[in-house]
Amino acid sequence: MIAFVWLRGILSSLSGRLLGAIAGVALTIALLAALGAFTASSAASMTKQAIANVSVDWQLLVNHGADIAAVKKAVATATPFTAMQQVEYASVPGFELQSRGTTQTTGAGKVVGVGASYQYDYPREFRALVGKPAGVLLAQQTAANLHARVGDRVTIKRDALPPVQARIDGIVDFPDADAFFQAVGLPPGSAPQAPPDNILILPETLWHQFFDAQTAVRPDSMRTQLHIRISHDLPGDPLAAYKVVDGRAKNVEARIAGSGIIGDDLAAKLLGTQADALYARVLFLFLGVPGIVLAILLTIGVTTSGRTRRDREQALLRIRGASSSTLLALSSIEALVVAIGGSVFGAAAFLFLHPHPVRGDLQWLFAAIVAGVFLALGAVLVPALMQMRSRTVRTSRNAIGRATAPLWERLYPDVLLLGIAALTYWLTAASGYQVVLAPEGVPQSAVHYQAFLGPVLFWLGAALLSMRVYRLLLVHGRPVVVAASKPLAGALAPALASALSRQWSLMTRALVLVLLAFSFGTATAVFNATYNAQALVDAQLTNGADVTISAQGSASPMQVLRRLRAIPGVLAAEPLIHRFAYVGNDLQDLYAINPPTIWNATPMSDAFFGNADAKGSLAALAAHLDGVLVSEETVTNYQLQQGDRLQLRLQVLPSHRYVAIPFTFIGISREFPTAPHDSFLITNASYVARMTQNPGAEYVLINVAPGNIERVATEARKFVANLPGAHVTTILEAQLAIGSTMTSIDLRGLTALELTFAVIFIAAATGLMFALGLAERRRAFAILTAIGAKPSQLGAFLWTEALAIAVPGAVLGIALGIGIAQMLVRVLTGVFDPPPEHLVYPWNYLALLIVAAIVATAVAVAAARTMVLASVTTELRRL
Amino acid sequence: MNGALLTADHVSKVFYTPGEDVSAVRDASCTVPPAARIALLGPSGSGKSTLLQLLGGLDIPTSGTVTWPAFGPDVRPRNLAFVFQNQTLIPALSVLENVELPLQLQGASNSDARERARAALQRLGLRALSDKLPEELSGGQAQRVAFARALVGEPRLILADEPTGQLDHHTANEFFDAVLPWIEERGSAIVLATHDRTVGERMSERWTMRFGVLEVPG
Repeated sequence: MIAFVWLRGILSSLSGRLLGAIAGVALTIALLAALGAFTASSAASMTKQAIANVSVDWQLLVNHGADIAAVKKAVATATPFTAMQQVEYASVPGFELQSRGTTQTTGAGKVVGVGASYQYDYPREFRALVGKPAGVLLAQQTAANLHARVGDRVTIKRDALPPVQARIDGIVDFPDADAFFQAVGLPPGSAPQAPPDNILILPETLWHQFFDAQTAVRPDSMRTQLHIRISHDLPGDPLAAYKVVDGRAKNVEARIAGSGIIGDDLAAKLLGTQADALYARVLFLFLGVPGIVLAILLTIGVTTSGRTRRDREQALLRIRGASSSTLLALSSIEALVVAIGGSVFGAAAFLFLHPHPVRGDLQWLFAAIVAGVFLALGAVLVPALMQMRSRTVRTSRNAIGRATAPLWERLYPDVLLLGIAALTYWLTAASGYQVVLAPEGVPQSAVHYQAFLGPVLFWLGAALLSMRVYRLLLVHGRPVVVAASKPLAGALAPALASALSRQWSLMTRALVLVLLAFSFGTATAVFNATYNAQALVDAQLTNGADVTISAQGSASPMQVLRRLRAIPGVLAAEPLIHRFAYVGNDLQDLYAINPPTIWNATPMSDAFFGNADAKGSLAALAAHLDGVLVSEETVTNYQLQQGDRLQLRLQVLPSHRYVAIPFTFIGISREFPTAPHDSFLITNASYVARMTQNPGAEYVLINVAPGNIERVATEARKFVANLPGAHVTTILEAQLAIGSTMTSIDLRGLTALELTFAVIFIAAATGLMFALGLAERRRAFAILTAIGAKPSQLGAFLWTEALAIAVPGAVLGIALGIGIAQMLVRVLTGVFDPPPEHLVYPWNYLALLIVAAIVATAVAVAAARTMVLASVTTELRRL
Repeated sequence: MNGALLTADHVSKVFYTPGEDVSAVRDASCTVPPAARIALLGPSGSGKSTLLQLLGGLDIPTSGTVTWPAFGPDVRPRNLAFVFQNQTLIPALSVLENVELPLQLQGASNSDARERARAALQRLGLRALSDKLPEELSGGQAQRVAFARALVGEPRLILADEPTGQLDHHTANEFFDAVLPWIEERGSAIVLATHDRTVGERMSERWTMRFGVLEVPG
């Protein structure tokens, strides 16, 4: 009966504290479920993206003499598939072309035979640049070597057989040549094989006409592959998807019993994605868990703020004979109300954020509700139990008291935590900031979770240190507090300073919540802004600039440079020469620029250069006409010293022969727009143009005013429509296309969620906690009014107390947040490409956090002032 | 009355509650002259506290008016001070700081407030308790500190609501022995609500409150 009366009382009164506790549990549930759902959905979208990025799922190498029909049948039995194409490969000694009075020859190459529908099934394997997209197709580099044009007749040399000729129908490039020509069946960890330098594609009938005879005499020079796209009905988790794909491949290999071997590109891609999924989990932990911890702390803060009320209720119940078990049962009813209310509102908030939840989302929601119920029970019952045990009046009044340092301060956990944080941070730095470990050839990636310890312990240690310093300031820094309070409190400043010093327990608790809320919001926002900026840099590196025009051969986009520069919205357009140069026997990409003006078209980051000084490196290049910046790998491989003279072989225009040209090694380049990740060279455009007698630039990089990228790209496409093989690409397309790097993980959903929650947390920590604290001391303010405090004096008292929490909490929290963000970025250095040079501060959002705190504080102070003034007589009648 | 500190004219107070409306004070009229020593007698629940809060401006009457003709706009804490039945010291402030508070609210300098507060505590024999916190005081000590806080600003009128209600008879007498001479020396008026007739006997005038109705002799 008493339980029913108690429940009715709780529901009819619905105090701010109860609603606050329900809101805290609801926030915890919503945040936990949303973060879990984010992790699951990001893994699923990464899996989907990874699958979409694989051109050919399986390349099944059929052994000589095997029954191809039987192999195809085995594949069809083992797995559902959507495409299966037979592809023939023939190794040839070389190609030759006689035209315009000269004879050009190449080294060894490959002739590939494909069916008529191959391009329909695998449109991304090769791409038409000039001429027809089908028929006899010559690879772009081979065409350049042979000076071949569409319509020319190329001679194909054959092993042990006379050469044959074919008329070129088109020139193509192989965007994914590494995979297309991969060596199937190499053991894991083997060095990757470079694709052939010279490639010709023939229709399968012509291929058989030319090479069936070679099969008879040189079978070792021939290969047959089946290119298979299996059904993509796979699990969302990349590891689970990998296991399905790998299982199917093994099943096929078992069925064909030595007749072939599968090059499983899809499984390899999924393995790489597994590491990315772990990155997403890392981000979830780094960014999400502090938010959940904060929501829990706020809930506990709300429930423990009702100490006085609970004391009174427990005393009254005990007077009327209630036993400890009865008190606990009644507290359980309150906990149940909080748990049910929190679960309902938390689930509603989650479903508002995810209106169409999938099964995985609902599983996370269920788990979050279970956690929320435990939180509600713990947050309500534990304080009630503790108060039941501390029966003396003195022990129950420890919120106000003498300045004895709490036990934890005397044990110095803050110093200890900061020390361990520094140590683990140093160890992470020493390991090269490798957070996710993905050893070659091992089908498992692992997260180096110890890397978390640095930022997490720093967060905790700094929060505790702030509490210690704040308590010392309140208790021992009275003159400072009086001076700081004077502008608002005036003559009441000394009394206020005394009150604050004796309420240090309440004050430090409130301060730490504000501090943690601000640090959470700041760290998330700064990390997010830096991350997004870095994703942009990544896309910029891939595409080269906001808009990039690329073309090969004689069709240089330089022809339309002036017109491109005249497009409205174009801030700058700069040519970029892209050639190939032999460093020893190693063919590398060479980029030639005009150092003083390249900045106008694309950002030059310090991280691009070995000396971490973009300005200095480009100035050095400008000062040395024959200067060259080379990659670190080349410096190591060739034992280069600053100032060394290098003989690089470049193709010279009149003869199209590779000729040695002298360069001087002046520095190291790590990244460059459009450049590959491994080895490349940066030189002066004027020098390369003069020495190769070829002024044409293969790229034009365009810097576009914000918001004009699509429009400028559309205009540019019109200008280059007549340039054979010219392409216009944008940074926006690059952002979509980047498939498997850290910065490809879309944080927008996660951060939007967290940034919203951070604003709520800050409003709750400043406003709600302050209001609840004041409600607890309403009687003291009523006494102040009764002895003659004017409303303005009461307001000054309240404002000073609120600001004494909010201002240091905000300042320290923002500083701590920036520190955490800096640590996060440093810890994740190994997964950024390139690492960010500095943090990016989202000033608008930080201003929003401060405004939220000011508004919440103002509302709380105004509400408290009104409440006190309206209830003076009521409060004075109370015991 | 000419020179009156306080005048109440047909003052009533009704508390509107969901079940019924409660008339705590009905049509009360009275005047408090300077240096008056008035006991407001009546049983518990008769409306004494409500009347005192109306007279002190802590509450607003439902009808009628309360004026303080001698005080001007500055009523509390310069001219009028309250002493309550319950412990009304601010828990986070020491005894000395509690007593300083009314002076600080009036804008006194810190040194002046401290000096006068110390003198007030000295006068009531509480100097040794200056640095104690309210929770460290006995009930009688706390009430004496509350009186010191009320008197430190030298108000012309003190409204005391059963200040010894929670003290035993002996302690209550000791309390008045200490406090009343000081009030007389200052020439302050006091209206003291009590249900204890022996306390009432120590006052020069006795008003009675029954079921919200105030009876003022003469």
